[in-house]
Formats: sequence, C-alpha cells, structure tokens
Amino acid sequence: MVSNMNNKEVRESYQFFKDNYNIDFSKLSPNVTRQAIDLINKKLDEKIAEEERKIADLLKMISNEHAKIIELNDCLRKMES
Amino acid sequence: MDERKTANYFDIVDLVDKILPSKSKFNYLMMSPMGLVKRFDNEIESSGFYFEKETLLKIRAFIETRQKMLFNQESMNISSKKSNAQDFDQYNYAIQDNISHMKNAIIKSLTHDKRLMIPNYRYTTVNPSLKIGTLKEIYNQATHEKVQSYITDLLTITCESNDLLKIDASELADDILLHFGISPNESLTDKFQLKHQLMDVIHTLLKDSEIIHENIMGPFYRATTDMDRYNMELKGTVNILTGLVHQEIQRILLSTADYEGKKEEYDYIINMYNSDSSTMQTTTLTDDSSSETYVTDLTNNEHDNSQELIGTLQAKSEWLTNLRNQRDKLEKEYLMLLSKASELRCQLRELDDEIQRNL
Repeated sequence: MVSNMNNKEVRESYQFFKDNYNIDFSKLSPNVTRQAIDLINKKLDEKIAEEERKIADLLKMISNEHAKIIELNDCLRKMES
Repeated sequence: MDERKTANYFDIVDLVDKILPSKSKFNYLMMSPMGLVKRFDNEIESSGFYFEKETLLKIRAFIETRQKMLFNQESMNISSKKSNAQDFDQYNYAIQDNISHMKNAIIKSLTHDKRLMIPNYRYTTVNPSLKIGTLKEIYNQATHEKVQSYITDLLTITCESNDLLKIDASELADDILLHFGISPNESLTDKFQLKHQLMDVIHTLLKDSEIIHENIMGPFYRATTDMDRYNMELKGTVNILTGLVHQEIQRILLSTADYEGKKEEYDYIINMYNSDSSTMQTTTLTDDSSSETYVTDLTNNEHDNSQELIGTLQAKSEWLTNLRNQRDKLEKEYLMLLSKASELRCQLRELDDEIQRNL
C-alpha cells in the first residue's frame, strides 16, 4: 500500500504525536509502530465513545432543564398575572 | 490415597542432579552399586513426587548395572589410565561420560510420557514437522533483529555446549531485562512482573528446545554424516526459538503497558525497547530534504501504511479534542441552565412569599 499523504502531512502527523503524546513514531521500528498504533487507536476509540456518551447525556439533561425553565416561567407568568 | 504430586520436567532434572551430583561434589568410585541404588531410593522418597513403581524398579536395575560396569572399568582399564598422568584427561572424560549417560537415561525414564503433563506446554503433537511448522509460522512474524541476534547468540552458545536444559531461567530473564535497560531490582520490573513472565516463556522455550533436539535433531544427527547440514539445521531450530522468544518478549512488554493513565511507563517501555537504534529503521524529521528521503524509504517498505494509520489516528485524536471542547461548552450551558432554573425557583418562592404576605 502506497501512502497518499504528502511529506508535509506525514511530518505534521509525526510532530502531532510527538507534541501531544510524547511518542516519536519516526524512531520506532515498524513492528512496534504497528502495536503502538493499535494501542492508541483502541484508547482513542474508547475515549471518543465515552465523550459521545457524555455529550448525549448532557444534551438530554439540557433538554430536561429547558423544559423545567419553560415550566417555571409559565408558573411565574401565571402568578404575576 | 497417595498425596504425592507429579513432577514436571524441571523437577526431575533437579532431582537427578541430587541423585548424581557433579563429580567435584561426589566420588562415584567410592560408591558401591547398591549404595548408589540406596541413594536413589532416598532421594526419590524425600522428593515427595510420585513415580510409577515399575519405572523406579527399572531405574534401580539400570543404576546397579551401570555402577557395576564402572567398577569393572575402574579395575580393568581406567585405573591404569588414572595412574598415567598423560591420560588423566581421558580418565576424567570417561567418568564424566558415564555420569552424563546415567543422568540422561534416568531423566528419560522418569519423564517417560509425562512431559505432556507440564503446565502450559504447547506442543503435544508427536509429529515433529507440525511442531516445526508452527514454530516457523510464529518466527516469520518476528522482525526485531536486535533481540533476535542477542537471543540467538545465547541459545547458540548453549546449544553448542550441549547444555540447553541447564539454562538458569532466572539468570536468562535477568539478562534479557538488563538488555532492555531494566535492572531486575527496579520497581518497574516488580510492578509488571516482567521477570516472572519472561521466566515462564523461557521455561516453555527450553522445553521446545529439548523436544526439537530429541525428536528432530537427534535422529537427524544419527542419520547423517553431513555435519555442515546438521549444524545448519540446528541453527535453523535455534532461530525459530529465538523468534518465539522475541515474539513473547514484545507481547509481554507491550501488553503490560496500559497507555491510559500510565503514559510515562508506556513511553519508558517503548524507549527501552528501542534504546539501541543502530539496527533499526530510524530517521529524524528535521527539514524538507530529510523528510523526502524518509518518505521514499517508507513507501518502499511493506509497512508504509503506518503513515496512513498515523494520519487517521491524528484525525481521531483531533476529533476527540473537538468532542471534549463540545462537551465543555455543553457542560457550561447546562450549568447556566441550572443557574437560571435556580434563579426562577427563587423568584417563584419570593413571589409566593409576597402573595402569602398579601393574603
């Protein structure tokens, strides 16, 4: 498989992992690189799934809170009137 | 009911070492055939291991016969050599050869058909070609030249000295750990129990070595006069074992590093695994000209899809960052709504109090 990434993209990717994960892929053997990729990929998938779940929960809670606020506002209006 | 436990291969080797210690600790010529048999009985009894009675009887008879032969040799041939200073090496060799033969015969008898009971022993098939095929398959996955050559050296030396079964797994595990830059006493080692796992691997591999030697190389050695080919085949089997060791070490080192929450340990393991970059494909990305070379090299390599995967990982990581930012915003919005709801409730209570007062 030939890489479709250009030099700049490759360099940026490697630099990204060096800066954010302290992993220098350019210094790893192909075998270790593959295992590191698998490991990080798995962890990223887990983290993404966790974030998406938290966001879904938050959206639900926000929706409930919006409903409560509408209800409270209605009460206030009725009482004021 | 007999409560004795079953001995594994290494228990038996230790036991036979006690029965027939090295010559420096024990004078065989001072031991009568029946004295040696009695010694055998005592060691077997005190070992606490179970052995079939029939097997023990055969070994007793063997020891007695063999020791009688040694006595006869001593009186007929060896004593004359012993008296001659020039033949003293030959005399020592004859004694040592006799002890080795006895030891091997007793080990073989005691392990007869019992080696398959060794825990975690993987190759229970009796077809040697299948075993080799499996080993080769695993070996083909191994690519780390540095570890391979190191362990090849270790195992080749032991093969050449015909002492494979006497490798001290603990010492070898320490050697390997030191090779990776980990002192056996470091807390990291204890934490991950690397040494313990390595020793398990080494024990299994030593068994593999013994099986290969006995089932494949033994008959081959007896059948061929082509020693170059024999040595080549022997080297091949050592390489296969080396590949296995490498594979296992790599698996252990990486599987024990849980990246989440243990980033430093993970980095440490990765770094120590690659501490010597001389035999590895390494390039530092510094400027456009060097990166050009790097990409050219990698695109010619079978592992070049790593670039794509790393690019995908970067995209995933950035997506995760976006999700976190989004969650942060939503959390702020939720807190704001909670605050607003609380404010409304306060207003409601105040209004309610006011109405109550007016009533």
